[in-house]
Amino acid sequence: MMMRILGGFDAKASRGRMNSRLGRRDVRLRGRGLRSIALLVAALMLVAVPMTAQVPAEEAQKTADAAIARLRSPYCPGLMLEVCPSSQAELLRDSIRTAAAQGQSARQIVEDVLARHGEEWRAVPRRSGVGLVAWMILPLALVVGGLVLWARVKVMRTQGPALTVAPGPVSDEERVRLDAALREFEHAEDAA
Amino acid sequence: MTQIGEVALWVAFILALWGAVMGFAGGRRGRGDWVLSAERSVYAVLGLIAVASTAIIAAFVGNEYGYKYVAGYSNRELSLFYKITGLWAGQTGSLVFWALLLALFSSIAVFQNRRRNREFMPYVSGTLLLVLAFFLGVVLFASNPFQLMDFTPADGRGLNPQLQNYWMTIHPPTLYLGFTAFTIPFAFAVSALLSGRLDTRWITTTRRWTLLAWFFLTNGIIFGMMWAYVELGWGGYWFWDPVENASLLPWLTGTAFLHSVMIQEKRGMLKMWNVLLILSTFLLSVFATFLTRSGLIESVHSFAQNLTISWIFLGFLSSLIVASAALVWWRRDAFAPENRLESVLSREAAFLLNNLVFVAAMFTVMWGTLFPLISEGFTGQKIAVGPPFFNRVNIPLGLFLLFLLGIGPVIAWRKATGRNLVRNFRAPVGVALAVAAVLWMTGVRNTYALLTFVLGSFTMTTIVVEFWKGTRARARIEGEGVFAAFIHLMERNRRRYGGYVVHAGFVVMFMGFAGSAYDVEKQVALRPGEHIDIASPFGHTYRLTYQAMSAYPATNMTKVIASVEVAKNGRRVDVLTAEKRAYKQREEVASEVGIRRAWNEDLYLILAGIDDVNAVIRGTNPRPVATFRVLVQPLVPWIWLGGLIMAIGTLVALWPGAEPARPAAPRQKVARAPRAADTESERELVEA
Repeated sequence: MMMRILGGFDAKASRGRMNSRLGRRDVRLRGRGLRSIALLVAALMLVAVPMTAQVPAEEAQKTADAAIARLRSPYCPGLMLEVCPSSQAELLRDSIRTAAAQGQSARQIVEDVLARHGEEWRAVPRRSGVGLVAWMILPLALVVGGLVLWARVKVMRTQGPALTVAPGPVSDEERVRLDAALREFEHAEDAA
Repeated sequence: MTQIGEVALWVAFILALWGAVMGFAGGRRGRGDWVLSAERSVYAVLGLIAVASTAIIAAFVGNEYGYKYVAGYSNRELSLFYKITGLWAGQTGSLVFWALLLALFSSIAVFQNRRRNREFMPYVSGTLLLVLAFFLGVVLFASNPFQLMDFTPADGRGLNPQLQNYWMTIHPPTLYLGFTAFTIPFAFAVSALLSGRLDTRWITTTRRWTLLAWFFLTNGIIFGMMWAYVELGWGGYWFWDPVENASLLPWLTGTAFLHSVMIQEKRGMLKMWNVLLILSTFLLSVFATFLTRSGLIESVHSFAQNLTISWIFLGFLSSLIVASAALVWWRRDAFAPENRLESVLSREAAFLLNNLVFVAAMFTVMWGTLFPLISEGFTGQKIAVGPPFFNRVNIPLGLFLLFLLGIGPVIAWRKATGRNLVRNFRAPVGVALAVAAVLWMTGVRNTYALLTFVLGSFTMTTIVVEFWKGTRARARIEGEGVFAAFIHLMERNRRRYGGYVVHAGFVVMFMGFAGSAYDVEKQVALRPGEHIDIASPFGHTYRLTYQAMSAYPATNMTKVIASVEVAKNGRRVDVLTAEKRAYKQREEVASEVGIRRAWNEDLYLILAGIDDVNAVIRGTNPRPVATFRVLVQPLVPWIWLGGLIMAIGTLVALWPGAEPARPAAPRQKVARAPRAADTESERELVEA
């Protein structure tokens, strides 16, 4: 049973992915014939990848990262796709990288993934339709809050008695201490 | 023992209801004996809930799997420590725990005020007992921890692996301490509304309670971030999960309250606003508890969905909102300000702006959290809102707050003059401009990071200048050394200078957040002996060499551990281990990351996958291929440092001691129009 559980994070399923990515994995093939076929396939892949890639690797990576950052993971509740540790999520991320390498834009990739998995995995709401309502809340809160505050400030500036300070009885000793304290505080402020 | 626990819960529930009725009726009728009965009910309820909680823990420790709750969150191999924390591991127990903490705080508050604030205490006791009765009612009628199953299994399901972490034993209780402590100022606010005593008395009485609640809530949130960072295994500490957001909501309004309350204390303004803020803070605390355990919104925290509880909580929240609004409306004439706002260039205005930002942030976070539900309710289509949305809307607000943090404490009360502004902001603006120039020249181009450091340095300078001015003035007047003057300055006004320390911690924390703009990440599959190089934004390079993989069975789990040697610029500095743990009972796998901490960055290692893991466990594959995710995370340690500074600042403000001595300076005579609403105690205070 333990092995079955640990199989959940067994990278065996994604070995092919790692092999193709790194080109140095032991494919554990037995027999010379099979090894030759594997070498041939690997060589073809090495040739084929640059041929099919329509965009530079760095640009493709940026596109893939942008697309991945806009998706929540269908395999980890509440987590973004970029951080979901599930092996299925890793496969999805790889498929996105492949799509980016083939020249698809981040937006196209996101729409494609959502078409397959469902709209609920979109992490950034659209700026149209119902999604726009999500974006409207901050400006709305600030505008309404600002207006309310402005109206309240107007009232607060007229409502309530104004503060007037009348001189109270201060002893000579207190006066000297107060003056000294104020003078020192002023000096300190100027020095700062 | 469990039978005694269940009976104790029932008696506590009945007693809480009794006490609530006695409190409200005693206050209304002026019956001292009824009020005393209510107060004694508070103590009795605490004792009874303590008995029930002990019974639950005893059931966990005694492996009594006939109880559904125990069977769902424990098993025989679980360590004693986690069996004890099983009290708050699930929804049912955490509601009992909520009630226990609330009963504890209620008893302390009632005991503290047994001889003073007599006019408040009947309604305070009544309100606290009503809230307690609600939670006990939910526990008894919808989520009973003593519910028996039809059969007794040989073993339980075990505790969720992610909860088997020391931060999880600290994080939920701290958060709950924050939520429950906010009930005390809430109860006093309700009492002030019911009794009509809306002067500053209820605020000064609950000042320490509010700070205490804020302290626990802040630390609870930070502990949660630490847990996410070390346990979830993806390198983040905050991902705008609905439950994280829910804990942030009362923090935002609570922080707004801590600031706006000063305006009422100093100037007698914003009375209604302060009442509304503390009412909202408590309501949002209840909302957060509900969201955490209802499972209504998809979250890493929601381990089960309980719609019955959702509806009960919604009903309670709705009733509280309606009752609170009705009370505020009823007393609307008693909120007249004692002074007018003299200038928009004043500390009062800066605090108002600060409140606007906090409340706007609260609405935004709440809206984003509930948007999937709202969109599904109105359109039938669930539209999710993820971290990118929250970051985009909240980062500008956070930066504006950082700016206000520098403005607020320095700008004068009542009215600031141009000269005052120039004198106070000359140094901070100069430092901020210098920092901007240095960062630009060193290649920092990320707008948010740049703004954070510039505004942070502005704010930090205002804080340092405030401390320096106060220390220097005191040193000259009192003839003390600088260190002694600094300590005495803090002692004389702990609240003010403790607040500055909190602000400094906030700035450091924000700078830590800004570091994420320069995160570096790599993922690679390695064989033992192979390495990966990763460059830090600080200029050095780490080389991580995968050494070996080992597997061994441990209590309750099997561990698979990868050892990785770390060299910095070619010099060996550390060996990190990253693990995968397979838990037996729940058939779940959890990650344990390896972290190398430095003062300015974390090197974060995740074991993302293992090739042919079964062979590793059998011992037939000693050199398995492992996939690692490696991150260099600049300034993450600053986040925890900022949290620590904030905690220290709050403790300074909270620390009991003599109130600052009033200067024997001339007393200000305030020319006030007599008000009909002046109560007897207000007149007493003025005369005093």
